[in-house]
Amino acid sequence: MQNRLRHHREAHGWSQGELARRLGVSRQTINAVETDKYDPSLPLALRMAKLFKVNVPDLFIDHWEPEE
Amino acid sequence: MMETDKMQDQKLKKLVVSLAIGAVGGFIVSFALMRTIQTGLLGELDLSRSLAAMAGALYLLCGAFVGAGLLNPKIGAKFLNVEDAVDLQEQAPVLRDSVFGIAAFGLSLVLLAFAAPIGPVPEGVVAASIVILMGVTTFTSLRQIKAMDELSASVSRETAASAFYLMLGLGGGWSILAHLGYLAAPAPLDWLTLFAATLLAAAFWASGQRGLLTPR
Repeated sequence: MQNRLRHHREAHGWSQGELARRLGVSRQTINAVETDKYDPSLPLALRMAKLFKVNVPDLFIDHWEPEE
Repeated sequence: MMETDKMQDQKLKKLVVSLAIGAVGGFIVSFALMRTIQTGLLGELDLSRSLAAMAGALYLLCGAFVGAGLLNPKIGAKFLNVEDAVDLQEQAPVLRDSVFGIAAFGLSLVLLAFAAPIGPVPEGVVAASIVILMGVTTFTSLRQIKAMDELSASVSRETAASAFYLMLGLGGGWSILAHLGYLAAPAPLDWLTLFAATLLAAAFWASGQRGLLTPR
């Protein structure tokens, strides 16, 4: 799933390590999410959105649309 | 030269160094072990025991590389797949447990391969050692599970699942062929070696899937 985590992290001037520390996860987790290798759990996605003061859909982009 | 090009060059250099160290280390250990086995000093070890010893040595070598990196993070960061020495130090508590767990598991396989009556190590000594070593592996594994974040937990689950299917395919296939009389049945030690090999292969595959093997 595409995401804008790197964009928001860099806008705050944080390194991957700094963001990892604030979220209580490893630096590898941040790197894996940013490179689309790993989709975070719902609790972590919510924590990320809360930290950047955005909504989850602003952070994680899903192109799925419900059928009419 | 652009900054990104420099970083790419550094990553490539590190990858080459890591692969070279791994290849040379692996060659030296396996060559030395095979030569020692061939001399007959360790008894007339059959293929099952030789392969178990090789697999155990491979685990010990992996543990030794990570352990050496932890002892000197500055040097370790040059051949282990971490961002820098600080990254390695941050991961040290989990990696330390991992080193002890891997080494204990590897040593267990080596001891089983060298166990009497064919090998030189008395059965009782091997049995007692295995109890202690498996205790170490279990204890360090449980500590790692407690310290894992969600990516590590996910990689761990994927490793276990992949290893299970690999075991099912390889061990199951071998058993079917043996049952039908096409092959000799796997020995108990073959199952343990197969477990060690599939676990290692699955760990690399799962780590690669999550980008953990991408040069950093």
